[in-house]
Amino acid sequence: MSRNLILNNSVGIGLRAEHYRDAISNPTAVEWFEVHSENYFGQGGAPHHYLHKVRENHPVSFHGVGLSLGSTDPLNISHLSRLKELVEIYQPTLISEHLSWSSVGGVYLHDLLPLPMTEESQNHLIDRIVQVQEFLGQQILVENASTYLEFSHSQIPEWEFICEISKRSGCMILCDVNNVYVNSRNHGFSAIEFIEAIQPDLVGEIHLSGHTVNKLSDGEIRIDTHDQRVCEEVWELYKFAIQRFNQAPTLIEWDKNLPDFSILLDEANIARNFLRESNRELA
Amino acid sequence: MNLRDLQLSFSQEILFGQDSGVQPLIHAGEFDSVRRLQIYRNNIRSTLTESLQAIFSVTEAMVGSDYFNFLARQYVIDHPPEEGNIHQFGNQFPQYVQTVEGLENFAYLADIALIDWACHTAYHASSAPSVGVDYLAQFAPDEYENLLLHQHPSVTILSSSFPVFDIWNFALKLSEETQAPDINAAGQYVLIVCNDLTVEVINLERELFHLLEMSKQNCLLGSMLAYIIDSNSAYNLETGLHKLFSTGAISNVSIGTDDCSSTN
Repeated sequence: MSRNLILNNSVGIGLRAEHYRDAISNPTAVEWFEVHSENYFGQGGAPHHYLHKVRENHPVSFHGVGLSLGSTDPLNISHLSRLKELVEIYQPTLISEHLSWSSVGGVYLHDLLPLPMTEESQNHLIDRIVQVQEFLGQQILVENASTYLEFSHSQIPEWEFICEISKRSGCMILCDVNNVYVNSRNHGFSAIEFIEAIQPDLVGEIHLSGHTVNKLSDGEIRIDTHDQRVCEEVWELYKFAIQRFNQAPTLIEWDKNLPDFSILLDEANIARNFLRESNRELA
Repeated sequence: MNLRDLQLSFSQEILFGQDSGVQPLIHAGEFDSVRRLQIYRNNIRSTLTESLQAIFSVTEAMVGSDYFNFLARQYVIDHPPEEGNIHQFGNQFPQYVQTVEGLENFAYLADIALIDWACHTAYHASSAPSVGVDYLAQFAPDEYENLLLHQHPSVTILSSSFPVFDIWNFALKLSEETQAPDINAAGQYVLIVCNDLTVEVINLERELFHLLEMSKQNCLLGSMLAYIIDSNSAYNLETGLHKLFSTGAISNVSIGTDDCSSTN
C-alpha cells in the first residue's frame, strides 16, 4: 500500500473521530481514508494525533464542507490559508469541495445550498475554483451536491454545468453517485443519462452513501443524510458508473448515526466486489 | 435576480423566515417552494443545533434537550455562524445564556457553558508536553524567584461565584452525591486542561487559580508566591506547587524578566 497514491479500483472510508482507534488498529483493512478538512482546523489534540497515525500507513484525501465555493462573498482567505497549512502538513493525494454555497453576507449556514444552473453561476464557480487551485498550487475536485429544489431560471442541465466547470477551471469531478440518484428522483431526470453525459476522464473520485426517503402525503423527497447503508438502486447505478469512469477511486461516506466500523468495512467490501466484477467484464 | 441577491434573499428566508422574494424563483414541481425551503431550514437548524449539543453537552444535560433546542434556535438567530469552520460556532453561547430571560435563577448555567466551551477548545488546542515539579530541580535555588511558568496551550481557568465544579460533577453524575449541590455554597475555581488527549476539569485552590492567572501575565514565580503568601500566610507553597504541576497545566519553565502588570 502506497502512502501517497489513491489508485483507481481502490476503496476508501470517510474517517470520523469515533473510528480513530479502529482505523489505526487494523492498518491493512482500508486502502485510504478521507477526512473533512475542517475537523483539523484546530491546532492539535486528538484529531491531529490520530490523523498523523493514520497518515503513517495510508494516503488521505481532504474533503471540505466549509469553503463555500459558490458564495458571492469574497473567498475566505483565512479558511483557505488554514487548508493550505494542513495540505503542507499531511500531503493529501486528493482535495475536494462542493459545487454549492453555504455563506453570504458573512453568515455561514453550514449546509450545501443549491445554485441556479446559469452561466452566471458557472462563470462564478470557475473563477473561484481557479483562485483556489492557484492558492493551493494543486488541482482540486468538485462534488455534485444533492438538492431539494431547482430554480426556475436555471438554463443548463446539471451534468453540462459540471462538465463545463471542470473543463474550463481545470478541476476534476468528484461524482457522488448517491447525489446523482437523489437528484434524479427529486427532480425527475434519468440518473443513467446523467452518468453517461459526464466525460469519463474528468472524474477523479466517486462517493457513495446512504440517503433517507421522506414520505409525504402527496409524494416523497429524498434527503442526502449519510446515515445508513447505500441503497440497492444506488449500488446498481454505481456498477454503471465504475464502468464509465474507469474504476475511479471510491469512497464510503457515513456521517450521522455512525455504525460500528465493521459496517463501513462491509460497505467497502461490497464496492470492491463490484469493482472486481467490472474488471472481469472488461477483461 | 442576480446570484448575489438570490443568495442574500435565500439566507434571509432560511434564517429569519422572511419572505424575501426567493420563493417565486423556485420551480415548485411536486411540492411548493415553502416546503422545499423548509427542508433546507430543517437541515441547517439540525446541523447547528447538533454542533452546539456536541460542545455544550453538560449544559444540555442540566436544562434538558427540549429547552436546549429552544436556546440553540434562538442563538442561531442572534449569533449566526461567521466561520466556515463549524467548530468555532458557539463561542458566544455562554454569554448568550447569561442574557436569556427566564434563566435568572440559573445564573450558574453560564459558567457551566463556559466550562463546556473550554473543554471543546482544549480538545482542539496545540499539543505540548507537560512538565512535573521535578523539572524545577534543574534550576539553582537562587534562580527560583526569576522563573516563568509557561502554561499548556489547552489551559483555561475559571473563577465562579457558584460551586461550579460540584455542579459540573453532579450533572455528569461523576460524584456519588445524590443530593444536588447547594448553589448558595461558596464559589469555586476550575482549571480545564488536556492531558494525553484527555480533557480534564479540575477543582483549583484559590491560591493556584491566582498563580495561574498571574503566570498568564508573565509574572515571575517570586512575585506570584509573594502575592499568595500576602493573601494567605498559612498557605503551604511547596504542596501548592506540587499540586499545580500535577495537573499538567505547566508545559515549560524558563528564567525570565517580570512583565507582571497587576497584582490581582
